Amino acid sequence: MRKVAFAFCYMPLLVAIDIASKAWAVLALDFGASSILIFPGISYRLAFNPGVSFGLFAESPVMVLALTSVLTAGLTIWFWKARSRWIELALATIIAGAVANIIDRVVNGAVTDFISFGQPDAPIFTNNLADMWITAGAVLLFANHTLSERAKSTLHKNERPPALEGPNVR
Amino acid sequence: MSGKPPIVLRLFHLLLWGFFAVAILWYVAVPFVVRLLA
Repeated sequence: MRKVAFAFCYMPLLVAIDIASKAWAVLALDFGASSILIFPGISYRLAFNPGVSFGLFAESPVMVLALTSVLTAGLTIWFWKARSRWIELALATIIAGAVANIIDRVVNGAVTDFISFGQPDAPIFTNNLADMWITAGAVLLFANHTLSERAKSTLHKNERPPALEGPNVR
Repeated sequence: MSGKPPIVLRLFHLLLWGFFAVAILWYVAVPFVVRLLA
C-alpha cells in the first residue's frame, strides 16, 4: 500500500513539480541572458545540458538516454523489493528525479537546467529540481545506510554473551 | 486532544504558510520583474 502511494502519488507529484518548473524556466528566462541573482550564491540562468550531471558525456545523448534508462529500471526493481520505508522514500525520490530528466531528454533532446550555484557570472554548476530530488534521495539513502549500520553495531556491543559478565544473578 | 487548536497557533500557521507562498511567488516573479526593468 505504501509502495503504491509512493509510485502513484509521490513520484508523479515530484515529476510534475519538476516539469512545471522547467516550463516556467523556459518561459521566464532568456537563453544566453545574464544570470539573475535571487539569493547570495544562487541565481537563475537557463541552460540546456545534453549530457548528465556536471556536463559529462555531452557528445552522445542517445547513449546517455540508454544508460540513465537502465539505471532507473534497476532502481525501480530495488524499490519494489525494498523492505524499509526510508529506503523506499529515498529510492522513490531518486526515481522521480531520474524519470523527470528522462522525459526532458526525450522531449527536448537535453535537460533544462536553470538554478546556478556560485558567483552569478561564473557559476560552479547549474541544475534543476530533478537533480535536487536525485541528490536528496541519494543523501537519504546514504544517511539511512550509515545510521542503520551504527544502530546494528551498538546493538552488538550491548548484546554481550552472559558468560563474560560473570555469574548471572537475578 | 480534540477540538480546534488555539487561535494564536492558527494565526501563526497562516502567517508561516502565507510567508512561504509569498516568497515562492516572489521568486517566480523575479525574472519577469528584471525583464520589465531592463
